[in-house]
Amino acid sequence: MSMLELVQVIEEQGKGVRAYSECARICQERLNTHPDQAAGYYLLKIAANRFVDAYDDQPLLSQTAEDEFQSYKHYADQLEPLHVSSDLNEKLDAVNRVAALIANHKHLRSSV
Amino acid sequence: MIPSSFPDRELIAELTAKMLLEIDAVHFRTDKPFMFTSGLASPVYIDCRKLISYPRIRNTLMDFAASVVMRDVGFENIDSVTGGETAGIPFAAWLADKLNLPMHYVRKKPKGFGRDAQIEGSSIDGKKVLLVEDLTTDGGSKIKFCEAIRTAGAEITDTVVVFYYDIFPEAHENLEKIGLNLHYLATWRDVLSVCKKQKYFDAETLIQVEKFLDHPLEWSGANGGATEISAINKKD
Repeated sequence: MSMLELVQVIEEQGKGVRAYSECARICQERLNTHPDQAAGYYLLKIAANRFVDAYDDQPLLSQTAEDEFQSYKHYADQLEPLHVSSDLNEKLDAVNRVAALIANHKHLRSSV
Repeated sequence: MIPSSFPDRELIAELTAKMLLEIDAVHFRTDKPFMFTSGLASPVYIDCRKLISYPRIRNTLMDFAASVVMRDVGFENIDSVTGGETAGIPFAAWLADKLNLPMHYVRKKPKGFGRDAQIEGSSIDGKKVLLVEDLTTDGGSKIKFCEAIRTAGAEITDTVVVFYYDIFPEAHENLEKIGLNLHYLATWRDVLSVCKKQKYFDAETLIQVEKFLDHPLEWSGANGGATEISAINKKD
């Protein structure tokens, strides 16, 4: 399973909190079984858990869920070099870029 | 004070629905739907946490809950009223006070290690526990809370909530699987009934809401959401 396949898991499971929770669980499994890509899976696990923490027990509008999904998909896209590239600098760049994106991401509270 | 009156179930349901509407805890949006934890799109959302800010209402609801528990679970069948993190905690505290029983709360995730890693309060080993949450949609959150309570050595057979969606057959299956009897004060049908009688919301909105309540998976699919309820994860 590549990073992008995690995105499919979220999409197939409806893009809700439960889908991200499952995604975080898979990331944990993958970072243990794929130590060469552990940093990428760990970042995606952090992003998935942050979604769960932000929206579990909170109102979530469908549009917000879609926006959050696109952000998550972007992280996975950016981390794809970890899966396909043999260039260590390219991998390190990808990890640093995504770490900054996740760290600066603001979860929006859906107004009701 | 332990209540000694037992109001009629229909009256409890109607008054609970009225109170939830009075404090604007009920939200209907047909154009920009909400998304449930399971990924379903929904025109309805209820914010039971608002109840904590209304002492007259919350006090009445906890009287109702105490009467439901004593009538349906028993007067001496509970050793602990245990709230589910986060929204269940204040309701558990008030209900424990009403029933003059010890209170605990159960975390969503373990804090540290050991059998009691998800339980706060004194040991519940060997105790009979009543789980309290603000609401139940498909029963998903109850599974993890029950596991944690049983891991800590307690017995749990009953849970009480202020509000129950009562639209997903999966809820009954989920609760049956974990051996849990659900007790509640009101459902969406009770809210819809009051909305119709008292002219809350416009007619078209209420039609859409009723369509959703009748066929939630179909409504969700037609409005960009999932068409089946995603499985509840067994592990984090």
